[in-house]
Amino acid sequence: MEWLILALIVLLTLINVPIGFALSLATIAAVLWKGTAPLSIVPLNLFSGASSFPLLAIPLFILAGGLMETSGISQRLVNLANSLVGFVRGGLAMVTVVATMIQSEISGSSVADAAAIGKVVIPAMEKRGYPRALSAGIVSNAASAAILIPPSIPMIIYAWMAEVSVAKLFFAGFLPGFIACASMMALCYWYARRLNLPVERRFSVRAVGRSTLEAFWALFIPVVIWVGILGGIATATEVAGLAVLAALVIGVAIYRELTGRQVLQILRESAGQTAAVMLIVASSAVLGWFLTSEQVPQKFARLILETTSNKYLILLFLNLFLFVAGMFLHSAAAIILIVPIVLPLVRAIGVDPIHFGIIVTINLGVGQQTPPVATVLFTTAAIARLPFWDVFRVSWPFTVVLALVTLLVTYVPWISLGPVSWIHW
Amino acid sequence: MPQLLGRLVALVEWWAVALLAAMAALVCLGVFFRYALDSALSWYDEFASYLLVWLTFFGAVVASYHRRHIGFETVVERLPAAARRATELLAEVAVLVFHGVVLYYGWDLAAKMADETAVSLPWVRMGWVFAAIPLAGGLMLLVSLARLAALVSARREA
Repeated sequence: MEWLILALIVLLTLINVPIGFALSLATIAAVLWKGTAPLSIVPLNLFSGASSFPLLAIPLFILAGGLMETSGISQRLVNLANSLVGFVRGGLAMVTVVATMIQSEISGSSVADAAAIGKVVIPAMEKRGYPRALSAGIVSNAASAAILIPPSIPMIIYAWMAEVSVAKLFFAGFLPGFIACASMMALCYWYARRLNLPVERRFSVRAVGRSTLEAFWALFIPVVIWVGILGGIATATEVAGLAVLAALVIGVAIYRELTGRQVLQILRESAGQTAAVMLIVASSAVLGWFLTSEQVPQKFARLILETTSNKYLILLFLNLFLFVAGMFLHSAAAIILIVPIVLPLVRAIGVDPIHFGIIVTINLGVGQQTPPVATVLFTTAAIARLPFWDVFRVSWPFTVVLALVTLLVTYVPWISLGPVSWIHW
Repeated sequence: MPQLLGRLVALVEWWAVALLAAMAALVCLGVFFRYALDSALSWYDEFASYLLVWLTFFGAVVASYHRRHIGFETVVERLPAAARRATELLAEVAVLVFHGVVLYYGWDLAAKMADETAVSLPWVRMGWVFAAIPLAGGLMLLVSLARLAALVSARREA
């Protein structure tokens, strides 16, 4: 039965039925087949899937990201990163990773992050002699590495599904995020030596000071987010609301690059993006209801535990499972469908749900870089005006690094949980 | 007729924009009341999450019309023209079934909820809140029908 549903979802997706509809359609077919529940559970679960206060953080972070992007923030962040790491060989590649990291502290999604930074750096890198495919690959993979750094929409969805604290999850993401980004930079350096890529500028404290000053207000937003969430003062949703307000004030009153017409346009785009993500979330809840009522999570846990009870082997298996799912599914859908199914197993083998949340987030990030459904890489390939495969042929070593970091984070729980144990509230 | 649908969707889009703006404003207001005035608004998180439901479904209508839902086009794009039209037709019929279920059973559900009220706001009837689902289902049904009609007439010409 479960396999038939899976086959139906794959089939519907292949003929280009939007994922948000396909998940519900498969459930409709299953409910009709079983005949044990009325079809009114479809609208009921669509409703309960979308009606959640924690998930409000999604549209609000999308909106804050859109406002920041249009108000010239991304360019200022690139300038700041340039003054920090531009002196290294292949500096612009490093700048890209650092700028993507800082940008991700404002936007909550890898796609938005990659689009904002990619539009600024990919043309700049081309001017400096970087192969365009390499630039697109670096931005894309850096965005998936940086999703571990809060705020992060996948983490918000995970926390909601697994009933853990978003703040703790955000805190757990910092160190893995930094390690992932540092590994990206190391690979950039290797490429820079091999391709003899240029140095950007000499390091000077004055330049760092000046660009920090110029980016001061841009950096003000992550500070609001950090203090609010990590200080345990406000919820992720409340902080997202404040980030919208701050972005609006900075864009309109301080940088003066944001007009009323642009704000309306950003609202339209954000509403569209929200609907596209939230429809998947709501529809996943419909299928999730069915899987739970069929006791799939319990069956799954029993099936695995009968085969092996080795924690490390099971973690490896879960990683492979997530990776394959991430290759085909949008990350929001993957989290909502998979987390409830595997969580009983995760708890049974004694893995902290916070730690597992970090594994899920970075693992699905790897899936966003691999075909057939590579949402982030598609975005940067489009910005670089290159066919997807041309970029993937160059970018895969970065994705391998990301996968290695996933394993590191999986098998060294301290990287995620150590910092969480320092906070007391 | 297609122009009429376009105008209707444009109207729905402004409605979605208003919902998003209201949501952002409401959350900021909630924060202000909780931290600055130290008297939390008891109704704001429930009301805000209903706004999210409305934004999700009315926004989904707009995304349907502009084909902005997240899907997987790679396979269909590579098919020969005839096979491609056939799969497009099949996919559209499947989508139509979904909208039909959402419209019919969503309406049923909203009618059943007509007398319930929101937990924190006695004047908000749950019927109105749930109504977003069949309304959006109905509008997306129209979008889907228009597209199906276009596909069929294109096939006749070909």
